[in-house]
Amino acid sequence: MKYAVLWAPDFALQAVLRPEPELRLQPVALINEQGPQGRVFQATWSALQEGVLPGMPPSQAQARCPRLLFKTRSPASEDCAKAAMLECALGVSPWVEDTGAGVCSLRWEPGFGADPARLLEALAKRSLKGCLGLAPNPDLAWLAAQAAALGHGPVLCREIRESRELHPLPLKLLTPPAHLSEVLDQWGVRTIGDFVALGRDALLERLGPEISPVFERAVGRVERPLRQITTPERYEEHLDLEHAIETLEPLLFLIRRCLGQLVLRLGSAWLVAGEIHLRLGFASGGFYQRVFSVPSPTCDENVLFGMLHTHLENFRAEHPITALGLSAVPSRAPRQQFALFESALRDPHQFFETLARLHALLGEDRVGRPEPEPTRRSDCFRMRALSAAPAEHPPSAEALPGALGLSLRRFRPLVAARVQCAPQPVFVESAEVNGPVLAVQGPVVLSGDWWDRAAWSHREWDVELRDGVLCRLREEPGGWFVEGIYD
Amino acid sequence: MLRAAKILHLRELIQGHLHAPPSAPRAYSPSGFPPLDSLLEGGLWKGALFEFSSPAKTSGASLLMHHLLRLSSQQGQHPALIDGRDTFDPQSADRFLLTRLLWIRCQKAADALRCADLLLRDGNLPLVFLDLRGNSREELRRIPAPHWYRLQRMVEPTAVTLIALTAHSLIPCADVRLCLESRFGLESLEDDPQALLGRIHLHVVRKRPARLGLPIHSGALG
Repeated sequence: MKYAVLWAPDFALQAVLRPEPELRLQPVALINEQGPQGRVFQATWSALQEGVLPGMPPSQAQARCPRLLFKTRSPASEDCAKAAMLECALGVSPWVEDTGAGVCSLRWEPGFGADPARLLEALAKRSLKGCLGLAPNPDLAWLAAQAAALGHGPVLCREIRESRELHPLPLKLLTPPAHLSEVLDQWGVRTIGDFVALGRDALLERLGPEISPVFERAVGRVERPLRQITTPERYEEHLDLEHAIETLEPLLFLIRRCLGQLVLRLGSAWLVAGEIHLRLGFASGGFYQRVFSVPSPTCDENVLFGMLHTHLENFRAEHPITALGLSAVPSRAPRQQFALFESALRDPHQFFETLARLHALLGEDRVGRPEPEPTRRSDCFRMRALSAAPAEHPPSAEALPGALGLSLRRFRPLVAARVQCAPQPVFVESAEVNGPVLAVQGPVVLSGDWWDRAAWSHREWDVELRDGVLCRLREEPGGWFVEGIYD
Repeated sequence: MLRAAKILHLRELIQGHLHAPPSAPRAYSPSGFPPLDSLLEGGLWKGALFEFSSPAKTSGASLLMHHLLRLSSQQGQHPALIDGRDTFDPQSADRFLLTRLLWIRCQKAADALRCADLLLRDGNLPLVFLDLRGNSREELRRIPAPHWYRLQRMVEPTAVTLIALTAHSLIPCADVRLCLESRFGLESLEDDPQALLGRIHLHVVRKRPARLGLPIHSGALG
């Protein structure tokens, strides 16, 4: 049996630089926390070359490298990067362990198409640079991965078949306790080979039992089972922005990058996005959140981006944006069977975008599907979102009550009227309809919500005027109104 | 002489190129209302702009609109109603229609036209009603004629039927303009809508010939 360890060196820094991979070639230092206690935690290769070292105060680092860029550590970004890394590993093997920050161990099954180059490529597509170590046990594989990081080949992969191959590697890879490391250094023991040559008993006698696990690792005798994890169903990208965003263009740029990562991750699991959740954090501490339902679940980056773009075109915020979160709720690719005469929308995504534009133009409550409320009160309904997908059990036309007679065209708001009665209405005078009444039906007395302060009651009359207009009049304590015209 | 022959030849060439093409049959969908189908020689044309004009306030225009919307929804489509003055009453509409209707509630005619523009660009909905009867005559008069021409050009290459309901003749470029003249009494408030449909009187005010190049296709709405 063989094990592999996938390791992303400087994981916290890589996680922060994922949305801006071009910064990897520039001197960038990651600060562990904001404020006077902040220290350089990790730094890019070019920053290290300029003399920036982990543990330095930012001011000292800046003095050594004036063009140094500072980034702050972001736990949310690290979580997202870890999820992306675990997905890569799970694409190769179902036995995966979340070993630590930027490290995951897996059982390596070459028979199932596991290919080191392909695994590292998948990781690179997720904007993470990793090393792979292969060995007969997980701890040896971890040493192999670290050894691979020391190499300079195009593929950062190293396979170790027996512990003897570790001997030329530096002793620090075994991470002995600091005080023992100092002693060994004074003895001139620099490599794992030198260390093993001293012998287990001699080391125990001189350095005590603390050195025992280090020696066991050096000879590759540690066998342990993997703490297997399940597939993380969490498709989320998060960015804490160093500089607040105030305009749409940079925001869209970052959204596009995050969306690209989400789509890649969903695609690798053969899933599509059923919903997209957008969360914007503001400098004031507040946030804005919105859920976008994808009418026909898809993994098409352009379609998903179009949805977000259309919405954000009309988005206004009072404070600059300092954080961006984007997550996808995965679903399976849609499979739907239409009824014989039922036709699908030609392009559900386009339709969804058109609806979004209509919402932006008129407002959310002005576009949709009307649904009458279960009440006798006039003009009582709510607007529902129109779903592009066919209902699972669509109601048949016969199952629902049909309409009777002419339909009403309502006046919103009601039109005030002067009505002469004797005792029924005989003449109507209003801005919309005027004239003597030829025929009358009514009154219909309606009331409701008597238990509430919003109790209502009125009387309705249907009248036919001499000019042929059929209208509905409403008599309220406050006066007469024309409710609408039958047409 | 030679010059005159050249001119004659040139004239023939020009006439040959500018010859009016023969009109092609329209794609249409039966409306389920025989008088309308007979007036339109088959049904509602696809890719056409209709104007249903009804000078009387109670003329049956809404009745006809509800019928066409219901027919479209029964065929599994999503019809759209762009309500220029927010006058549609869901409580007096067919419940099945409400499960599929896209109702767009505008307050101004300009907004209604913008919505029509968006829906035509989208092209997903095969039947779009634009109800402008509630909008004032002054407001409608302010709509520049090119806006209507643009809508007509947009709808032409699609399979969408756009029906504008107006109180007076308004649209200069409507492919078909129909006038509704009907009178109903109070007893019609309790009648079956199908029976009431038979009392609607329609006549064609204007009908443009079909253009060459449109696909010959007929079928259900959409």
